[in-house]
Amino acid sequence: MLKTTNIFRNIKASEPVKSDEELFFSYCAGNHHAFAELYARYKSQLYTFCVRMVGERDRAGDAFQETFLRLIKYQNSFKAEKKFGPWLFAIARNACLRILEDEGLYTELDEAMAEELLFGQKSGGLDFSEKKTIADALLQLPANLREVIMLYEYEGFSYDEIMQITNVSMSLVKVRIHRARNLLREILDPVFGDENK
Amino acid sequence: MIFQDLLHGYLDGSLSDADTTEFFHIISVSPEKRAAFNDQMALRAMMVNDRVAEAVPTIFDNAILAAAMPNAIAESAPAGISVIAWKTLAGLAAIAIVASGIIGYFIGDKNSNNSLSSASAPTIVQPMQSYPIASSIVNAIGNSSKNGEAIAMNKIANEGAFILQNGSNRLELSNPQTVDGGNGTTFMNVASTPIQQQAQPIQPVAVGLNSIAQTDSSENGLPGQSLPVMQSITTSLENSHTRTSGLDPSNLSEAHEEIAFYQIDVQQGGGMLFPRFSSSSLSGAPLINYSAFRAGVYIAPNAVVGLSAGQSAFALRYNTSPAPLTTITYIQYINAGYAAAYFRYAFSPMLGFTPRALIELGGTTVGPYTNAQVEAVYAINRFVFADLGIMGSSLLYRHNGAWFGSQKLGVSIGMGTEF
Repeated sequence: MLKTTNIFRNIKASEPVKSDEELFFSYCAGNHHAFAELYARYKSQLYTFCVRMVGERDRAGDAFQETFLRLIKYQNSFKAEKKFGPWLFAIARNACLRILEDEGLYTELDEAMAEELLFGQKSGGLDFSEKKTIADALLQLPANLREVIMLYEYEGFSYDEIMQITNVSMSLVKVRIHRARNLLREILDPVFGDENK
Repeated sequence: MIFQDLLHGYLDGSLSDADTTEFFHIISVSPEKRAAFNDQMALRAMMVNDRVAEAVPTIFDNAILAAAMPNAIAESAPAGISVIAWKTLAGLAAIAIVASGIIGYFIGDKNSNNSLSSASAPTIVQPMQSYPIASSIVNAIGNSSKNGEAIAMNKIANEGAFILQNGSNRLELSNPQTVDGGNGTTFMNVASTPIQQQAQPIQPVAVGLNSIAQTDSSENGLPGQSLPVMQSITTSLENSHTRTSGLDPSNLSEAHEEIAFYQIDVQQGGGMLFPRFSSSSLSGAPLINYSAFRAGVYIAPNAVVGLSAGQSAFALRYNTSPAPLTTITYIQYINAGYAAAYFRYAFSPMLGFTPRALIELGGTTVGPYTNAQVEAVYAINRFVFADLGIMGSSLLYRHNGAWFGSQKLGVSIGMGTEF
């Protein structure tokens, strides 16, 4: 008797990928594996964001852990109409700002000061003289400009999502991103100047 | 559109075809603007190349994943004392305080030395013909009794003050001398001296009248003065970590609190007393006051239970009928010290403030005491908050077997701390 072989592979339908929101609600319902999957999705991205915001790994680690601990503790405050990613980054942003505030490193750049910096009337503590890496340049930015440019250029959030994360108006988000770009251009001018020669 | 708007619009990918054409035209004819465009494109390239993810230390993985497990939350309790132990202690203390107030009510009336009773309760039985009486009182009483009118004779005893009032006739006394008249009676030596504010409480006494008439025991006998609301002095050490219901840590203004476990606050306030208590010469005195010190612990994100102590002024009133057709109403002001347990709940913030509700149950040396407040809390900073509230208090007391109640409605101002 010929041994028959089932030539039709039993193709197992792949499980659909659950959205972040579905995973989080699953965790809220008691599924801890859902949290582990969510954590794996966001941990690198979030930790990198914290490092770039805070500027130092030890303190960034504090902000990183605090973010997830708050997420766990206040899981019931996540509303169905929200998106998980911006909500998570909003928690992380608050944690980073708190650490910067405690260290005395958080400064709000008001509109007038930003104009003065851009037009070279005041240094505002920014160093325009030396060549810097982009990471150093980002740390030179005031925190409220740094956060929006990182959320937009690095994390890929839309203006609308950044508005939700930072809890400011859409117009202010745009203004801050534009000013951050212009300030970064000023800070990195020695680098651009050499490249353009 | 100005060049900067075109430049950033191009970087954002939000320019229309027409604007894009205009933008490229501008940078083609202007070297300076072209340089700005090139710099921004170089900046973007630098940021793209900088998108290198940091490696997350393994220790964070372990800690966070462990915290995601339910039993890990209990490890956040204060070192050395578990959350459950604190809650148990707080609950037992609250029960003890309320029980002591109730017990104090039942045993305190018999032997207490409160301002409405003494070891020998005074009664009015004897005329005071043998004792000098201020002529104004005699005239007032005499005139009214002659006309057969009912007189409102209210004796208001205050700490160190003694007032006899009959309509517009008012006699204010200080340091009244009391004499034991025997047979359970007490007489008072009345002298028409200006009232002085005194600190020492006096024993309530009975006044013997040589004219007896029907008295109006209603509070309408008192002048219709409104009690001024005492300005409150607040010195609270309150932490601005205000817990609110539905706390969302993605909201920076709410994100500060969440680690707070203890709450300590102080309040001062005052209000209008019911029955009405008024005295023109005493209006400047601390007639209406309230102060509280509270210490509590969070049992839920928005709920605090704890113990409180303080003092609150009430106007105590009771009637006595020493003889047929005679009723004398006594209204006395007391500053009652109290101890209580309280429950406080914070609601969702609105308009920059956090509404809170508080209820206290406890006791004083006179009887059970309750207080309810609605507060608006403002976070001054991460550790200090201030609150303004409306309060309603009630005190139950018993005299000569009869039940009486006294209420107060007022405002409170406080500050506190949470940590």
